[in-house]
Amino acid sequence: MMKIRSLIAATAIAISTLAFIPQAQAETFGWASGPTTNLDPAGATINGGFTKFPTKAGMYIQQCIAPVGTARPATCSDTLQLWVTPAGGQGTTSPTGGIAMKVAGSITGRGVTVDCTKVQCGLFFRLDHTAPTDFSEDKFLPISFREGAAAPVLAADEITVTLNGKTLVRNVPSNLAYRAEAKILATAKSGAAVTLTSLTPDCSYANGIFTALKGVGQCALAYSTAATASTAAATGNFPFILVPGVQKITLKSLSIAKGKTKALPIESNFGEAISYKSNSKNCRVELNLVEVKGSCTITASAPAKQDMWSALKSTIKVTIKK
Amino acid sequence: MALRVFIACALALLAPAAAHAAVTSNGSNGASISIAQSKFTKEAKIKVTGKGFDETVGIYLAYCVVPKKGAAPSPCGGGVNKSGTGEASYWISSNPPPYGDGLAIPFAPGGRFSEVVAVTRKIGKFDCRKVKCAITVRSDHMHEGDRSHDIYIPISIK
Repeated sequence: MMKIRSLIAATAIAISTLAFIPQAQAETFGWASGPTTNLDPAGATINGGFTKFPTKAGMYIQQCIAPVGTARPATCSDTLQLWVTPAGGQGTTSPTGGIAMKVAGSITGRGVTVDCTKVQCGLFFRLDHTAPTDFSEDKFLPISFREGAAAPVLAADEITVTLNGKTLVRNVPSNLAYRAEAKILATAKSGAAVTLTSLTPDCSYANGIFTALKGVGQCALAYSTAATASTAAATGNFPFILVPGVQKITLKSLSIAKGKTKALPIESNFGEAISYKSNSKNCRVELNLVEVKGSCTITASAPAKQDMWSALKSTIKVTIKK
Repeated sequence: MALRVFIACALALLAPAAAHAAVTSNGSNGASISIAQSKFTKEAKIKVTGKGFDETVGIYLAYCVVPKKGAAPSPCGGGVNKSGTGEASYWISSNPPPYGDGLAIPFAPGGRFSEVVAVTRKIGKFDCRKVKCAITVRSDHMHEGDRSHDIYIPISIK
């Protein structure tokens, strides 16, 4: 019984020393975990959990080197990180319940390898990509490793992912319109195959194309590579803010013989019925049919769909075929 | 005048089709399916078009026996369409799980689809001249039990 009491007391002390609570003008979240010192450099797990979680966004927990001043850490592990959010979804961790954070004596991030047995490393907490400019929850919790053999240090791989030729930046949101053309190209410097997946159901990824299936909300594209003999495995994600799609009509101009009738497209690219209105007496429009006596312009319009796409208002130039 | 004559001619050409009036059925989430006719004197293949579907929710399109209220449509013509071929049933999904790649048909932009479904007198042991059968849409197995996406167009066949 004495042993049990001693164990409970020791555990309580250990946990209480590792817990931190909000302070004035600092982070508002609370976190408590098991020991964060004398960790196995070959790989260890810090078991903890949030005692209080921010309401304005989710959080990332990453193993990083100690930040300098108020700046965020210069190097964080590409793989030893968690995305904690109550929103749920593939690749996320729930803020309620226990959280197992893996750490290691050596980390690699964005091409830089750090020996955490010699350099101060720790867990870095920050709000996720839904609050990209809010640093109010930034918090560094130092950890230390005991002497021993760290896992073999593998060089960090360099993963480059482009969207329509533009390089994406990890954890920095990009805008993506509903059904916009979004060609993804991913390469690893090591030559390892890069696996891409959509982390959220509001977007799909297939055959190099990332597609937003809604015009509002958020998506995330995850990448991962397996370790090679010389490079470490890499994972990460690129967040996207979804915006309404651009409704279009395929027809921009029309050339028809005088006195002839022509049928105009019935639907927009999103299937909305298009209505037409002639802007002069040279053209007569009935439903989607136009009869031409002379050059004119016709206005095509289709309604917006909330949270999906914007309204269509397009001008079609009609000329007489000679 | 020419435009009016053109429209009148077009409407006249369409008039015979009125004998087989197009049928549209609306779902509770803004989705709808349409077919050119719902009454048949013989077995046929019919084009089913859908629009306004939530592209984040996969669906099954099939010709099925109408079930009791609150139950999933079953049985359906052809059973489970594992091969993704044939005209008995279709899995339409823009974000299927990995095993669904190449099997599920993605929605067209705007939550649309257009597929040909076979209308038959019998579905298994059920005779559609005696029991109610319908062109049906239901959410896929990723949303099992969610009846809010069910849409039916009853079919009459002699």
